[in-house]
Amino acid sequence: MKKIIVASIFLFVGILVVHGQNTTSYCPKSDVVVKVRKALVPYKYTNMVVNRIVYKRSNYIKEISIPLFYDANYRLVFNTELLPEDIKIKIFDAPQDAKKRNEIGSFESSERQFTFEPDMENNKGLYELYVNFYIPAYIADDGSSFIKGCVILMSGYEDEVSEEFGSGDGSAGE
Amino acid sequence: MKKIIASGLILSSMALFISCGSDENSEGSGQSDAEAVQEEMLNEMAEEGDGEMIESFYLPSALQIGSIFQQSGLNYIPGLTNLVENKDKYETKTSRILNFGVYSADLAYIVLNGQSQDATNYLKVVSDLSNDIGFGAIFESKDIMERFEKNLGNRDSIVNIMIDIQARTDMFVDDNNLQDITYIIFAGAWVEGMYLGVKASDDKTGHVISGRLVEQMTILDNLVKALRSNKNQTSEVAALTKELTKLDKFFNKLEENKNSQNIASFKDYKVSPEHLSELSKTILELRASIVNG
Repeated sequence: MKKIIVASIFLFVGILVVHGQNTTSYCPKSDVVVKVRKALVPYKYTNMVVNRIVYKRSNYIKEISIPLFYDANYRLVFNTELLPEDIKIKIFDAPQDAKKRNEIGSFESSERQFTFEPDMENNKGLYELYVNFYIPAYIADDGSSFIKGCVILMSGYEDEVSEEFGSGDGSAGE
Repeated sequence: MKKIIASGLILSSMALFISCGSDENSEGSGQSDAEAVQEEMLNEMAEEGDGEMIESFYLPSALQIGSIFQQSGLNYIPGLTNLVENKDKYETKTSRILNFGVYSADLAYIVLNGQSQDATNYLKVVSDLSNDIGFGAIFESKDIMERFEKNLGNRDSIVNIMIDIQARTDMFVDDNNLQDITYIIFAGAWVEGMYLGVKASDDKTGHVISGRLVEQMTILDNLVKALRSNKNQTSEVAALTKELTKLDKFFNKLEENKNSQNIASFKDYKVSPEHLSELSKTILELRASIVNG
């Protein structure tokens, strides 16, 4: 009898774990991450942020800020393959609520993967980037639930010897 | 026979429990499909008002922070890092998570300064603590430890291995929805990085390091927001968030000061000795509260 109860508890827990499948189900990113990592070369990896995008019934903007260090050069790689619907991505030098801000990059998610390298040389006062995701309103034909996706954002910084190698476009290899 | 009936009852109860939890739309028999869809829409519109905002926070790696300080002339001083032996005194999960961050920053400091004799010990501590906090899978494969030991003495290779560890950690965190834990880890790493920057600067590097220290405020702002995003903070994390928020306000004063002098970059901003002293005191106290458990 005890064995039956213990086995049932394990089965129950197993069902709960499978049933509770979470955000990885709408963001199967393993292959995408490999692609993005290759695009980062020769910059040194520092961080990956998986931006969860929920399409609602009204337009909205999601913002993420990226602190920068002076005297460092960065490459940001965005991959939007895991989005079910297209969005726009813009990069600014100040947050949404700032009185004045300059747009320094703009991309369409239909490009699927793109890179951005902020011009640190000519923007001495740039110590934070603000990435804005413009998420359009969406409703399915049958009026059913929200759709979700994700944008992979990976960042890297130039290493100390990069100047010896010229333009900074390395080879990722296979 | 009794056993069969008992197991059948248990399994049926579980199935009923799960189906009741997952299928809200089936409440009320006789509901038409259109009514069910409409009800779902109304529920979701109500949720929309609350907004399912899945926030994202960007926090750089401890290795990059260490690299930036080191390029600014930060010296290596033996004995500054958290003692390996201290690992055993961290009793709460929060203190282990925080000190996982501390030791990660220490490992970066050691590796970047070519101190390979200590690197293995610190990697072992990081690996041990990772098991305690549920991150053991990152270090499970033997290749990391083997590669690390094989490449001791080759700074570039060790740095690349640490980058791999960071990348694995980021993937693991996202796959397992452990962002809240990673923010606490980063808090420990950030405070330790700042502590090392404060302690290891000297008269020659003081000005440069002070600019770097103040530059960290943009990261601190993100860190405070990230910690606050977790509504289920332990009392330890709540207390730490409170102290970091005070420090953030102090940094904002420095930024206002910088802007009032029309200085664009932190590189050109000279922190006054009084402000530097205040900043150092706060960082040292904060660090002590973390590593003392």
